[in-house]
Amino acid sequence: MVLNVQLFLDTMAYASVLGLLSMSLTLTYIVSRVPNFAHATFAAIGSYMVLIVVWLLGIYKTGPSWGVYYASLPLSFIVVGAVALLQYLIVLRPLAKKGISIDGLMIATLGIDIILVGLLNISADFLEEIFQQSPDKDLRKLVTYPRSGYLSSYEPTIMGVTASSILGPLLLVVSTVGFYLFLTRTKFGTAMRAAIENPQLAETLGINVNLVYSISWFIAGGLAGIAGVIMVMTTKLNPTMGWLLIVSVFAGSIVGGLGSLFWGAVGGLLIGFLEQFGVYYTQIILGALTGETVSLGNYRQVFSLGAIVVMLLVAPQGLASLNWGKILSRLGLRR
Amino acid sequence: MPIELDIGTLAQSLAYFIAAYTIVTLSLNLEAGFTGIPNFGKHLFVAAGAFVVASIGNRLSAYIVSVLYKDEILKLIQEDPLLSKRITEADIGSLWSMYADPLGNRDLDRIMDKFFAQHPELGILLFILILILAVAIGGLLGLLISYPALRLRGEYLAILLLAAAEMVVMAIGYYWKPLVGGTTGLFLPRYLAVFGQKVILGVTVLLILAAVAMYLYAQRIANSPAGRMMRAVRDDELAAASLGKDIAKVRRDVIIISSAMAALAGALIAIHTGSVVSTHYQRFSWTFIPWAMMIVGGVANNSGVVVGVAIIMILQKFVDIVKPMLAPVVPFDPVWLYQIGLGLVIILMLYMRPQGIIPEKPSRTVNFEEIFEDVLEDKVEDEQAKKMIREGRATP
Amino acid sequence: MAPILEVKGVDAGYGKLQILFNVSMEVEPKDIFVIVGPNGSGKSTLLKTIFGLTRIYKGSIRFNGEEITGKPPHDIAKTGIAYLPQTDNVFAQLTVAENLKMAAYTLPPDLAQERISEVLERFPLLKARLKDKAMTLSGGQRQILAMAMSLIRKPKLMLFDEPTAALAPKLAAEILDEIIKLRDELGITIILVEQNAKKALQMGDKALLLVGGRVMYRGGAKELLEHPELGALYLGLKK
Ligand SMILES: Nc1ncnc2c1ncn2[C@@H]1O[C@H](COP(=O)(O)OP(=O)(O)O)[C@@H](O)[C@H]1O
Ligand SMILES: [Mg+2]
Repeated sequence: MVLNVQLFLDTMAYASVLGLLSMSLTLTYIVSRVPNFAHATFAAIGSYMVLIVVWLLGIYKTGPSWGVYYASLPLSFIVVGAVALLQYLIVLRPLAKKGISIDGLMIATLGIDIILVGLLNISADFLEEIFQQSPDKDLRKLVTYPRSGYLSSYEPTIMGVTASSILGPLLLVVSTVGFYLFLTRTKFGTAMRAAIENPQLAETLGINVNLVYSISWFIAGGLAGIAGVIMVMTTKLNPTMGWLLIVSVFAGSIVGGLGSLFWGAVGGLLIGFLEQFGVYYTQIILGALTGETVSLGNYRQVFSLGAIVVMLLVAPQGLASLNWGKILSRLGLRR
Repeated sequence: MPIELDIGTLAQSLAYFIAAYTIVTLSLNLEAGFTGIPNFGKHLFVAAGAFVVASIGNRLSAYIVSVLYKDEILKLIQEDPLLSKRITEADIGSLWSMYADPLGNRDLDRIMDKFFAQHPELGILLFILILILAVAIGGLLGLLISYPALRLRGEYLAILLLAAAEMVVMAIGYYWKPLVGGTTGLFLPRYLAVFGQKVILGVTVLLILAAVAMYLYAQRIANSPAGRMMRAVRDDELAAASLGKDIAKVRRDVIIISSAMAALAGALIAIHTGSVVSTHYQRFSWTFIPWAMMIVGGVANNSGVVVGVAIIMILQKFVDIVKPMLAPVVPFDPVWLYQIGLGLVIILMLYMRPQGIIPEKPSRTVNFEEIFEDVLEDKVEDEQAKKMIREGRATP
Repeated sequence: MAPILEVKGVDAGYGKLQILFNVSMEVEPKDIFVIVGPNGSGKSTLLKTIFGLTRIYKGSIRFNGEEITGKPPHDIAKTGIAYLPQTDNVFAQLTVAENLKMAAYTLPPDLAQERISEVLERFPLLKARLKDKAMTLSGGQRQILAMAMSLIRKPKLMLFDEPTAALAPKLAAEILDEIIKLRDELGITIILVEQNAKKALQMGDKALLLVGGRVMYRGGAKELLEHPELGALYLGLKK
């Protein structure tokens, strides 16, 4: 079986979305030590920004345009970053300060997820109403979009390849490298590492740990937001689009070990490929066995769940904890 | 706009929801409240009970009935002008497999309903059999889950359970038709034809009885030596270990018992509804709301659970009543406000009264503080380490 | 002379758990002020309280005449107090150079560079280890790094929490000598929490004995050392 090029390209977009989400989820976990169950819904908010851009910039009339990305990437970054920041400042920090247990904090993030999905549903109702009532015939066609829109029809292509397949990996690489440079080369980045390792000591040295954490949450939310922009090019828009996706996102973070941003990105990327190719080849094998066409796209998260189980039972600290030198030399790849 | 309030129906539906949620929340409380096992995939266990009833129960009862009462079933089919064309005598043996798709389910259901109307005693028997099956499979699922549960840290376990539940309920249950009919769901035969027209009331009464029984059971567990042991496990692994008991076994038993309880609730809910569709068993309804009820009522306190269940259910009914009044005023479905409101309630509750309305009673017989100190003196040599353990313990 | 630090009737603790009860003390400039007491009596908590790291329910703390009660620690750091925690007093995952850079976080870049060079002159052994992660340092080297870090901002008052704990006796003596030098050469006021009560009281000017979060003695260090009962009762000193 040769590698399928289109499948590979599609996978690139999806896998980089997971890379961005697993990386940013890891960041919030490192900072606040609580798994944020609302993280995939952050991405969903980013996805809705694309619909809003398509509507407000009139892209629904003009057709595919780079404007989709120019406008929705920064917009999503800021809006979702602000949402994440608020979650940290009004919910998680006060609760943690009160000494609420980790279970309590987790259920609080589940509560935030419910609130955010509720707000997205309200927005979807609003948008449907607006589109439906519009005198603009083209706009009226958007009426189904708030609950089941494929927005990929508004993104441009580069040499026949949908932009998201190229932009997704690019954004992932840029943010990973950018983060690496930021954390190692800048004073504030170093302060971030310091504040994460030992917040009390950082405070006594004059570092405003709360500020550092707030900025971390903002960036994490922002990255989830831009992930949402790419995500909506590969999947249907819906207020609850994050609910199943959270399985894949956590799978990526756990594979990465929930302790390092770089490994979080790698974990997400791997999970993306595992899901897509796992589905693809299982379909082929099952198809050959049963003699019927089998479609398993809806069960992709089975592979993520499998990855979570295997990883937690085999190497709970994730890929980051493995001794890569030893593994490489075992495999004969390094002396 | 005048709203019509049928008090009888309202009370009955309230009683049903309160009973169902009481069972589920009590089971959550056994795990999360008493034992400190954060089950964020409770909906999986509730769904398991319902899924067993729909997928295994439906097939099993169709099989048993079509083997034992072949002639009667055949007659029922032939009397039905539509079905007689589709189903022949040769199909009888494989009648049960019609449940694999929603259309077959609909057809088969008509026959089964008629059949149980004629044989109510067999319906009761099958109902009990299926209920036992659901509870047993729920327990087995608990056993399966206990393997990672005993090994993983709390937040990892929470992630795993939530992921597993979303996977089974939202993906497999929703898309894979042979399980519970996919997006359309499956109807269940009316096993409890004995209740005649009052089936819903009958099942509600059964649920209430089950809830009372589960409450007494949970109380007994909570006040038993094992119950105190559970709280010890939750508060202090070290202290619990020093008691020389087998932590793992207690935790495993708790997981099995509460999984079986949740499955029982799921099975009864399915029977009450008369159908099963995976979207009824989502995270919001059967994980988030039970957690909200437990936190509002009082963590690690069975009576608190009942209070929490009652408060939230009454709130929900209230929303149901005002919804039609609100609908014309706001440009969106008011149900979202209920969801947002619940999210806010749980966060505010955590902030203002994390111990819940009825806080946990302090343990009467054993002072773990003292035990802990003894153990520390006994087992940990290094002063520094002792201090670190104490501080780590004291830090929330 | 006016006291550089004034603690007045402070009740403090962690969350709802009160540890300190009505603690008062006055520290004169350029003194070595020693805090002693049995384990768990709240010595570390008192230092943390001065630095704003605990919850203060009552009372006030003034530094250099300025009210610092309730200020966040990162602001207190800027007033000229430095604090060396008992454990985890360096960033293990950061290199020595990065640790020093973090210690100079609040200073403008030029000044930061200058101060870092200064402390490296003072503690030359760090120079060779600049690129190494702090976790690779030995216990004594870590204590030195911690001290270097707290000196970078040229504090007027330094709080030491058991700086010699877990160090070999010879190293411990060196560290204590270094602390005396800080006072003698740089004129820094020192508050010292020490396990080795005898050594500490010998080098101290004033002392405070803390038992169960309450002040049992406040006065001259030598007097406490010679006190007929207190020393034997709480500090394991022979009469
Ligand atoms: N972070 C903390 N949270 C809660 N209690 C603490 C914390 N740190 C210390 N304690 C408690 O405060 C008391 C005093 O501790 P500490 O100030 O470290 O004493 P000392 O330094 O004199 O040995 C002890 O009972 C200890 O258990
Ligand atoms: Mg101490």
